[in-house]
Amino acid sequence: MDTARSFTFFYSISVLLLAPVAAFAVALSMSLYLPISMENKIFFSGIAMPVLWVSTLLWGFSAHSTGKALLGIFAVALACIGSILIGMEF
Amino acid sequence: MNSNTLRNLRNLHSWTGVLCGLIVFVVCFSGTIALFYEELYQWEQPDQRHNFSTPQSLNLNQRIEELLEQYPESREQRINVAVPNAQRPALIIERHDANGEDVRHSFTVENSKQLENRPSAAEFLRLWHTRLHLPSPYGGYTVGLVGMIMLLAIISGILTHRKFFKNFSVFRPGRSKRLFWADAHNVFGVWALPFHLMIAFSGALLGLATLFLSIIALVNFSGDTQAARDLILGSTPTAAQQAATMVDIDALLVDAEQRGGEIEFLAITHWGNANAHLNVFSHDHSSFDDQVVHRYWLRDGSWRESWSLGQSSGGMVYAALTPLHFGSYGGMGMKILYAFLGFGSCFLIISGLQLWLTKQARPAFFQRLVHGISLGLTVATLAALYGNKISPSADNIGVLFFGCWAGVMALCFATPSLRHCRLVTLIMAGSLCCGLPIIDRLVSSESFSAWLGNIWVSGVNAAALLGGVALLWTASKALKNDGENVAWVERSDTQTID
Repeated sequence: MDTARSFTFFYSISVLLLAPVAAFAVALSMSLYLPISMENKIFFSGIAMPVLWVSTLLWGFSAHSTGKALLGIFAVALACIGSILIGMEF
Repeated sequence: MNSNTLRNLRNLHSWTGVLCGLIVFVVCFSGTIALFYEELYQWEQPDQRHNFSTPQSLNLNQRIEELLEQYPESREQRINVAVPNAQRPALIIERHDANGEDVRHSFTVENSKQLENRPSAAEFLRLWHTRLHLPSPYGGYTVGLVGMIMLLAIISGILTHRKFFKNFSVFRPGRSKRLFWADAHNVFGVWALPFHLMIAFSGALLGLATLFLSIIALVNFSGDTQAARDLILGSTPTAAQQAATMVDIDALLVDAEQRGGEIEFLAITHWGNANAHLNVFSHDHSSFDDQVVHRYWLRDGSWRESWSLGQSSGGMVYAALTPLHFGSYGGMGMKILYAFLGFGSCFLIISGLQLWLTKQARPAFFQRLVHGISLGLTVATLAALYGNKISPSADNIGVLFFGCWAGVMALCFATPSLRHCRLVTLIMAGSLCCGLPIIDRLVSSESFSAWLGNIWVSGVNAAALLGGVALLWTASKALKNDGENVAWVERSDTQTID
């Protein structure tokens, strides 16, 4: 396996693993901070999860610059996990 | 969109289709058959075919008491009751045994006589669609992920299509094999695009709902999933220390009917306990967010609350997903339309795979695999329906289903010519389909006129006959046409594939 192929394989696996983390983190931080009822928070963040998951996968796999895309997904996931931890008063 | 992004999206569309197309096909095909789960009931249970009239009383208290005396291990478990209707003219009480497995008991409405249930192929196919017969909740998650992959493939397909509107009417069957599959893929994809998107999104959400709920509960309820569930579905009281006499359920059903909706289903918890209660699920089949649950205490018959998912705007959206996915909101016409669109989704997947196979000379293994899975599943589904008629045990339906599927797969890999294999499987599937009304007639004990006059049974038999004729016609076309312009026949089988 040459370097380019192993990089693509490694990149694909990274996107596949990071996409749900980023999507769930965005949906969860939305559920913590949106000023709506708890019932609506559960439903809307649940509905947002598959939408965000697919959007992140599309972003990751269609990106021209793989490094930037991976960094972008990672940054979004990290920022949202941080906001969740703050929201949960850890 | 620049050319690199477009190329990446096209690759994403191809690889999601190639790697996961067959599992998406399996879920779509079984889902299309499972649409008619309710309609297949009378066809599968010949002993339970009779004219339905709304009963004065269901005698539920007596029947539940008798069952629980016979099976005391089910006393602490939830008991479900399916109220009889025109499609399903028997009362079904479902209890859970010591291992938590569902056990169903059917009764006649007129004289409370317990009926012998035949193993249900429709139930087998429904479970195959909703969880691939994997343990819960992992089966649901797997099917949900399949929905996610389908959604990803559809959206990447839309983004890569530049001539979106042109594909509405471009179909050139007389040109090359590759053009045939490309046009078929585009036409089926574009015409039914809203359906494909809806079915993939709702399937992903329904399959992964419990996973999503657990994740949301982790953050919003400190990991207490039950608290999140209680907020959405209402809390269930725990069993009290003291026993109580249960009030007459028939009287509560009259009250629930006055509160609105058509009663479909009852759920009873803690029977015989002071905290026993009854949930009456009422439904209006003409709208999306229509399920209302009336809750009663069974110790004194007092009404506790009426609840529906549509009370919040988010709940309303979520409540619409199930009827949208299963096509249960628009009557039989809508279900037939869903069936056509569902088979369209299956054809979309197969045409996409065929397109990939014809683009380059791929190894014969892939061609045989696609045929083995797709035609094998068709034959296996029919075998499961035959299993309902000839087998006394539900386990045998699974054996027949997977056995026939494996048999067709083996045939596809063993025969020297794929064309012959396709012909054999098409003729086999067509003959099995045409034989369904015959075997149904052989096992039913009613008179010929009553058999023919039963709209549910005749509907299934007519659909089977039509399907069988369509399959045999396809086989005859494949047999007759050996011209180079006909896509069904691969004249180059021996050169490129075998």
